[in-house]
Amino acid sequence: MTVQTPVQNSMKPGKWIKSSCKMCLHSCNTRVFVGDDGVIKKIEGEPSSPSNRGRLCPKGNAAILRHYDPNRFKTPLRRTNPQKGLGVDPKWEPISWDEAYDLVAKELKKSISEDPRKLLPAINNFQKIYLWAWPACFGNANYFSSVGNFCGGGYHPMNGFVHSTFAAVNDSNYCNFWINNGGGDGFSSHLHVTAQANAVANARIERGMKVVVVEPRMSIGAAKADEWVPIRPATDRQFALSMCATLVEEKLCDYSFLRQDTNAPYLVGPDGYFLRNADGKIWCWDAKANQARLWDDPAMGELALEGEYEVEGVKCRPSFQVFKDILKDCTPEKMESITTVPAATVRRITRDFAKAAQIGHSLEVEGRRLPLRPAAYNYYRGAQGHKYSAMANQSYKLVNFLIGSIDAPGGHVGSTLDDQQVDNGHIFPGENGMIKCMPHQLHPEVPFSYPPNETHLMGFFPIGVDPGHLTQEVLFNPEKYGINYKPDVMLLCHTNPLWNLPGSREKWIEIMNGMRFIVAIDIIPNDSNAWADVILPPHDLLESWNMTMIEPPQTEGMCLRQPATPPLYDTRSEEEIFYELSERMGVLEIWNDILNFVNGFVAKPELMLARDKKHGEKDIAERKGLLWNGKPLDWYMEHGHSVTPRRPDKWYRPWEGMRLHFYIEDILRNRDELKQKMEAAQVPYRDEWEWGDYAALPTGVLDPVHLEPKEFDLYAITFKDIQLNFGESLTNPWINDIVWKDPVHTAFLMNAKVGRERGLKDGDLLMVESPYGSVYGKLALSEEIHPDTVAVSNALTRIATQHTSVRHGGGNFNDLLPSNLRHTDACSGQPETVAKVRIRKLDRIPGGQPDNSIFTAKEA
Amino acid sequence: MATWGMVFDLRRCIGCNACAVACKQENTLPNGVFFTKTLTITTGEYPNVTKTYVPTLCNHCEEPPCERVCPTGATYARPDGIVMVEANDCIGCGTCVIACPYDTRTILEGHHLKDGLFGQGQLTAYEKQGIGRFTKGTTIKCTFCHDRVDGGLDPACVVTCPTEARIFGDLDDPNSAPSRLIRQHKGRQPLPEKNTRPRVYYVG
Amino acid sequence: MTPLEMGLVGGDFRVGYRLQKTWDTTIAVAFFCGEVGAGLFFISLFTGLKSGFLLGLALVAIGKAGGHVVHLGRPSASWRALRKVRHSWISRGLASIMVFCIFGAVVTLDAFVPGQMPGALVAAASVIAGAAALVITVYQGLAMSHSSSIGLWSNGLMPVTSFAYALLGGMSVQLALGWGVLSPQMIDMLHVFALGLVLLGFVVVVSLIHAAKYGPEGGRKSVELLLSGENKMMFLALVLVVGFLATAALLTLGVGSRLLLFIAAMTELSGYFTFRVLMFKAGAYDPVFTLARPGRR
Repeated sequence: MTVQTPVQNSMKPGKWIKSSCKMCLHSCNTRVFVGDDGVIKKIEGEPSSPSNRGRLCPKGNAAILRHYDPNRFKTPLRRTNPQKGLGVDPKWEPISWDEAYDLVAKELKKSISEDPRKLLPAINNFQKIYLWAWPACFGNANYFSSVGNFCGGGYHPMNGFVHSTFAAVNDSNYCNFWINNGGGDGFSSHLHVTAQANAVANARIERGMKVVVVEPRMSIGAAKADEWVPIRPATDRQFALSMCATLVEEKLCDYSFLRQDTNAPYLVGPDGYFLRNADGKIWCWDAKANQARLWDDPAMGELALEGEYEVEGVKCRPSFQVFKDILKDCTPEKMESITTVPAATVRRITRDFAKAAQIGHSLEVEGRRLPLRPAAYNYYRGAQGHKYSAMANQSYKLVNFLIGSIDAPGGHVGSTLDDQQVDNGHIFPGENGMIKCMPHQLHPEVPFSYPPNETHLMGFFPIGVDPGHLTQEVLFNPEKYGINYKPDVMLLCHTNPLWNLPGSREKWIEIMNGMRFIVAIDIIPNDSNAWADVILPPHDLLESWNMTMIEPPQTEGMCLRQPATPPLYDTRSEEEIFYELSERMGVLEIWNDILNFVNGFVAKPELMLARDKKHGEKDIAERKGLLWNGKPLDWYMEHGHSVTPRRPDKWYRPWEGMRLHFYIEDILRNRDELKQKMEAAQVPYRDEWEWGDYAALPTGVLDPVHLEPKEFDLYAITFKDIQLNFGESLTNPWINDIVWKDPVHTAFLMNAKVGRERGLKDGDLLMVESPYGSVYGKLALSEEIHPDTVAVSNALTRIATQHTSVRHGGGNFNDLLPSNLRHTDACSGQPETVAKVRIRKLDRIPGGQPDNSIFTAKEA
Repeated sequence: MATWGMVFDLRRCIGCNACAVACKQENTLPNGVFFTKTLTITTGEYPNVTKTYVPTLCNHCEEPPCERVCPTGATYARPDGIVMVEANDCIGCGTCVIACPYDTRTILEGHHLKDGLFGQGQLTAYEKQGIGRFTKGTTIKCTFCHDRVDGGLDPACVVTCPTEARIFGDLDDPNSAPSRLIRQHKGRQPLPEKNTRPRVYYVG
Repeated sequence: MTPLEMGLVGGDFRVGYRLQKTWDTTIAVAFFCGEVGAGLFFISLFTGLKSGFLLGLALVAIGKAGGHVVHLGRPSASWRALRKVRHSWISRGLASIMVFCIFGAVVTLDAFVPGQMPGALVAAASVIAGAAALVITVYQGLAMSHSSSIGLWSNGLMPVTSFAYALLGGMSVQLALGWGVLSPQMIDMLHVFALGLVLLGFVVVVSLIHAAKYGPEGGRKSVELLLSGENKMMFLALVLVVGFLATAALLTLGVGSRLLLFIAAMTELSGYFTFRVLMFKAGAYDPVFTLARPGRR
């Protein structure tokens, strides 16, 4: 065949550069093809990566169109239109970097010098997570966003309590029975979706791993599962507790794990605390000798898990017994009317699950004998995003505890965020043989203060994740909450609070309108940065340097990001931007101190950033690489990454010899410490505070969303799939081309039978109203959804963003959600993410739709 | 000489359409034009519902109806079975689109080449370097990534699939990955009654 | 019922029925002109009607050829369509159109200005033009049924409908134009043929719908589409009642009146044009995939 000029992009003259993806917050390893003409022509997964193994999800495949997006901010911009509002043109005017830095520094400094709390920051670049700490230069701990908290409010602290990690997932290396509840791992979302989808597909097909998915909607996982268990929204905790009740009642538990590796045998007194002797050591009951002994008494015969005892005159029970007593009210039969899952289904699945767990079996992994427990219960956003979030997260952990699969091969395993050094462990010893609880996975605890220093009351959530949504409640009721300052400047970086925050859009907009000055550090226009006074445009993912390890499951190591082309426009790195501002605001040295601490450079002094210098993104990337495994930057540039399979000593039972927190006494301690502080400060609303949210073990109490007025008779949920998860991809034409043809993303979904009974049909226009707000959209009747549910894809929730490719919907789903304390978990800060709603038919679409709205017919 | 074919493993496919986007990347395709796409079939009534994700692309049939009806010879099959369209010879009559039962061919219209991916009438640098391969008014379709295959690589869609649901190889070789899958799992062709003898099979 | 309730999926990522969109009203006009023109010219070869030759030639040369050129994606390359005469009905059709135009022009010229060309040439041209015209009357239906992808089209009756409609259309126009020009005996004979062709056309169309309904999936869906919604009115009223029944009645009543024959030609042609448009509008593909598995031993 004669040589012909290739028409396919990856075969044209050019070269491949190894890098990593950033189309979501995770970092699959990629290779980027740059033509000899300097144009990026193809992006693929990097074959040498044990994480995504050369494969890439649709978002990663679409990165070229982020790079060449004509809507990108190309220079620093200043707003010339003083009016701000939905759909209002800022009338940007280009300014120079120097001018921009000076202006921003001046405005921020003005407010911060009056009161450092006057800054409302929203800095949400996960791959450069050290940037989140910048406000700490001023002692500011405000947080104007619900990132990390909408999906992981209770999730992250609980992983910290149980595994001492940020995330957790089932072990696809050995699992044979995988339950997914409200989390798309292995199919559509959450941790490194390409890598997980690959691992789970291989486990299913090559090993015959069984999958059961418990969700209100037939998600991708439910479609592939061996069984889809439809469930009423916001009742997943009750489902998990009913599984626990079955395991306990039918004696299907791993008692030896509970006895040896957890605090399940520790005796709990009437006040909920462990029973301690005068030296602070915890009592247990020796079932053989029928007497109390300390937990580490070498004479211990058999640690009792059940029973009621008296020690030193105090009535007590092993914490397992406390849970067993709670579970009496959580049987499948009692929970059926709440969850709508038939009791027989729960019992059948639980028995199969317990059988698959192979309790008692073990295997050898790299010379270590480990329990083999190839059954695990995985969960995430949908299952944990409710008022009683800490309890919900703990319920799902407890299913795994009971069969002994916590951190076991095949079981439910903790996944760290960033180990920083390859030999770093993440387990620290606590007291009385237990591991140390590490609920502060995102940043150190913010101290309590009254009057509150933070508009989101972070100091009132010692073991929570920033409840950014409470800023609305607090700023609209300043006297009630005692807030004695008014924030008036905002810094947005890589964030979209107007999209992600629950509560009333109108009120959020009012808050933003009340800012004297807003700076946004963003690549493309979005719903929120349309309010900015100055735009500082950073480099995008194909023009910048980074080194990151960001909660990979199954693997560990650093992922390099290196520029494939020089910057297309007059942009700077985020690092430079924050350094320039820091220097002008007199916090350069503090900022370097913070960076050295947050990045772990303090562990290797030769790597520390010089305090008096402004460093570049390459400097930081290089240090992170050296910190991990001692390899220099050009090694990383050649290899692209240092990713390896997760070391078994870190992945499986890294706490070997210590005990896990089956019963989380730390939660009660934090509650009581907070109570004391609130009492000492005479906080006026301390009696209203939802102290019942703090529990050492979960109960089946209903989330208050179920108690809304009866006229709200359906549950509205929202969801994403792999085209949309963890990122802004609706600006991307290639993603749009596949999303707007997918029937689950183009209309509100409702159960077909229920819809017909209400006289509804496909294409009807619906108004969906909760007690807090409303959205409207077209209806699609579906067999793939629980009868009590209306499901709204995230594709339908954009309003008035300035990016021309984003299609506007009939409002933001998050308007349906409350942003008050009643529906917030006092323990974790998690807001309620399900809404109780009522629906009514609309005759026509409300006017004023932009040309590209979802209501405009596109070509068939 | 190999005879190229593909197997789709329906047990694995999660309908993510990474394949569709990888293909668009590889081929500089305009909006609305797909050389491959993944469809869904949902059957049953709640709660007994089955949902299957079904990848589709040109089947590079052994008896391609498109080749038979083409008046100019623009549509032709290579010796290795890949069915191609020579743009220079195509007059855009659309008879091949009518004749193909699988909805895999598109006639390029002016707006496809002028609108731009971002729809503002301007082409990005990426589009400018690639869109010149297309001629307005001609028919285009999947070519099993002929440039990549000639260079010893697998098609872009196969390489990117997160769940390894797409298996490409020589159907004449009984030990190739697709041949083994077809044998072991009773691979079946799409719409066999149309007598097109597709070289794409489905298992699972 | 909404399109979705009928199983039509358009461009959605769903397996279901799709309507063909490639051949639209422009092609319908081209097909219509081609068949009526060729049929009219063919019949004129037997009656010698000059206006029949002229109109027939014009319909094919301008209406059909023009309509196709307008529809083509790359009309500048249209000459290449002559290449695959061995396989493709489109190729064969184009060749026939070209042959027809050339030799039909000779015949038409001779009809208006007789004696200018050798008789043998004209005679040969008549035969060749006639043969080419016959191919044109039939090849469109053969092109539509050359693949099994669209159930409504892919049965043996499609070329027969082309042929029957071409002759019927040609016949009804012949009657309207020829009244008072051709001899009364000729008109009577044509009139009988016309009634026969109406009956034949009616039976063929009904049989086509019947065959499609009990044939492949897509065909069944097409029939469902034809007999529902606005299509139902068009099909039953225009194609069947107006196109066939009214035409037959008018023909029977109107053999003595130019006006009635003219109206009969109009009803017949409206019915035929509607048929053409509906065939394209309701052409549906089968769903591209089914989960049914082959039987196990």
